[in-house]
Amino acid sequence: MAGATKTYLAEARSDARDQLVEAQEPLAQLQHRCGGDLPGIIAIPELLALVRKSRLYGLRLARMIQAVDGDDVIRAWVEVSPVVADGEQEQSGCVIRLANWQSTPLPAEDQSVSEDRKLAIDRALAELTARLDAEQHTLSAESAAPDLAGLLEKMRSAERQPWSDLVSFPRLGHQHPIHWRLLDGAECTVEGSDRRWNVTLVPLGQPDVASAGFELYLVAQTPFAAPSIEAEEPDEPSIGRSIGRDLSPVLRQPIARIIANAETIRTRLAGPLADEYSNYAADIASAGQHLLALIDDLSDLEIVESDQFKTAPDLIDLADVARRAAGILGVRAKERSIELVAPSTDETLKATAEFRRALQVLLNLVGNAIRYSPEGSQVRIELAQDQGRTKVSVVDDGQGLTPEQQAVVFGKFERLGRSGDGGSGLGLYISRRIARAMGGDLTVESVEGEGARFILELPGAD
Amino acid sequence: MIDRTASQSEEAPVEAMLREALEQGDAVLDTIGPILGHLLANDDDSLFTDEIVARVRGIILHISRQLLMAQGKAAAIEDTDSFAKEHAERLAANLANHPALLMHCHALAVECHLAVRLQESSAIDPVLSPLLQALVASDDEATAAAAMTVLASQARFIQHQRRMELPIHELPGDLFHQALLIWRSYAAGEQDPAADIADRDLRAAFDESAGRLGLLSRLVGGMGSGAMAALSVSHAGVALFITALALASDQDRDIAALSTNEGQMARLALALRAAGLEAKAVEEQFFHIHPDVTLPDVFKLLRSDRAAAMLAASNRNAAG
Repeated sequence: MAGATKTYLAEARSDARDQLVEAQEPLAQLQHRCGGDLPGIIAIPELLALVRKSRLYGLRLARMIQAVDGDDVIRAWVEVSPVVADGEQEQSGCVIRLANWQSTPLPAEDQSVSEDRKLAIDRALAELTARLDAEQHTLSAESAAPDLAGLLEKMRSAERQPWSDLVSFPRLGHQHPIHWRLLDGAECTVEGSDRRWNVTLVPLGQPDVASAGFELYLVAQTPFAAPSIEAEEPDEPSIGRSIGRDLSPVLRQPIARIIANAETIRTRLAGPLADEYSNYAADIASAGQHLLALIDDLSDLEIVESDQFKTAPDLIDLADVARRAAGILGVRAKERSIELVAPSTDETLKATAEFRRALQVLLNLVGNAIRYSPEGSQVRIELAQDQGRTKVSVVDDGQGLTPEQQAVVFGKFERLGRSGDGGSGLGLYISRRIARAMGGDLTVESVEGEGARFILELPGAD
Repeated sequence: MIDRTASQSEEAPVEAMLREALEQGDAVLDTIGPILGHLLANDDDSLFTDEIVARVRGIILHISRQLLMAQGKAAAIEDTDSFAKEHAERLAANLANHPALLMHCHALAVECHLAVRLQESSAIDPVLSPLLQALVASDDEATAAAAMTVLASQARFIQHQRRMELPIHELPGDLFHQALLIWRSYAAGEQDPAADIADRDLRAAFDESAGRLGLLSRLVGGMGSGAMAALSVSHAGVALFITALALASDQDRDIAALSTNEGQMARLALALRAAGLEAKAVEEQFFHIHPDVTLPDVFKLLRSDRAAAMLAASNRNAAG
């Protein structure tokens, strides 16, 4: 009937469940900007309605559709034909053809309308809602999110404390109190939650804004995911491939400069300085130290993971290695009032291993023991020999590890839920790789609450 | 709730007046279906012109006959004509009970009536308007081709309307589907396998994009901002004018067509204003469509966005 051949801008196909299977531009982009995926359910509301209708009626339909892609109003002429696969009664989907793509700027929306809508969305999505008084003290708070239980508890009990003291604002600095207009829309982190949260504060009261307090909504940026306990050995991220070899020499030098200069400021070598600034400099220096340690770990990681990684076995005295490790970390142990018990100078235990690598493993084990043991406790380095195998154990009186934690503690980047203490989660992983490369092993024995025993096992002297 | 109180306070007197008129118009629109159904059933009219009622009845009967012919053909009945004749009236009565279908046919009849009237009073060609002529001569091949197909389908439309006919594939998809459902429920029990075949064939032959309404809206849509030119009834002709008005004022095309009726002046004025026409241009359209009416001076004060908001608030933006 229509004699002239029609030209189309784009073609697309949908399947029997109205998923857009393939689409040419500009339809593909509109699908994305409407929040959909490709392949994925059609996200353009009027197009979805048209496609559903076409499938339901079994008719070729053609309409003008309108959509908003964020900035522009799109009007397009769309022809939808249901496709019936050969020999089948059911349609398998639709072919969508597009012509007349017109885009005009979205008419400016009334600001109050868009604010109302944003608020309605926040109210619907908030995982923590609270009513605050004019000083932002909590009057009531509700939340069903498992990772906010701690915060909820604190908000309910801390009556004379602004709620904002109970969370942290990574982008707002630490000055308190913060004006509510800054808090509204800010991002915050909550202890016990891995997620990041957006704050919405609605001031209440007329005519003085906020005179009657606030409504508080915390909206998570990501949905809650229950932590998984299973150890996943394979498919680890392969970070550090080139960091060790290529980047670490380049990074080391500027970081060393940062640390050196920060130390200069901290110790006021260049002249008097307010305490606060000296403290900031100390923070910079220690952050730099952490960064340097991380780079060391990453370059070690690359070495131990490479196929060519070999140690140079030698006849060494494990007692000597243990005493040296204790000597190197003695100061740190003292700082934390931890008693470090090393083998006495008359003990010897011959083993076949590379001295440097064995020391590296012991430094890691003893360092961990000092870091995670309670102040005033004891860390012991013990030697043992068993059927041609030698064992050196680092024993602490700390919290110990649960069976689940023992299963994963040697995993790459495994932090056992800790954060912010400068560790990279690589130390034990690297240590075990080294131990195994030397023909030995690194294992842990622990009962929760009764400390842990990390055992480095090495071949004895033949 | 809050929005409504806020907007009432900033409302100009002209808006209150128009809102009232619009509400009155809506009440009339609400009663079109029942009244028309009543008139068709009782063959007694005083509200609608004989011509329009007759045309609507003729169209419904034609739809009914086409469905029955398809069924008879699929059932391999020898004398399909007398089979169709036998059932046409009763099926037509069932079809006439469907308000949206009835309203669509009515809107088409009103559109055709207007086109013929404007040809007499303002010398506006019902088929080949100056705008369509320009589009046919367009350098852009696609536009020219689209304009040609519109021209052909518009010529067929006027011809069919004169004969009080409407090919069923000219129905919008939804109404086509509804018409098939009504026919199937009427034909239930009789030659079912044949009805199945006829149903499948009718659906397979249907192509909304080839229908006049589809072609018109594709052509107007493709003009982009140039579609404003189609909002002049003397330049664009009735068919393009109504399509452009519907698109620009976000109304169903049937509603836009019916808004050219005398009882719907408030809606027409608001729709033209909402489509972005200046008061003077609105007056010009009124000069053609309602030559006896002059718009009140205060109409100039009505803002385009307020007109659109009033139209959107009316409960009659979709047919049915």
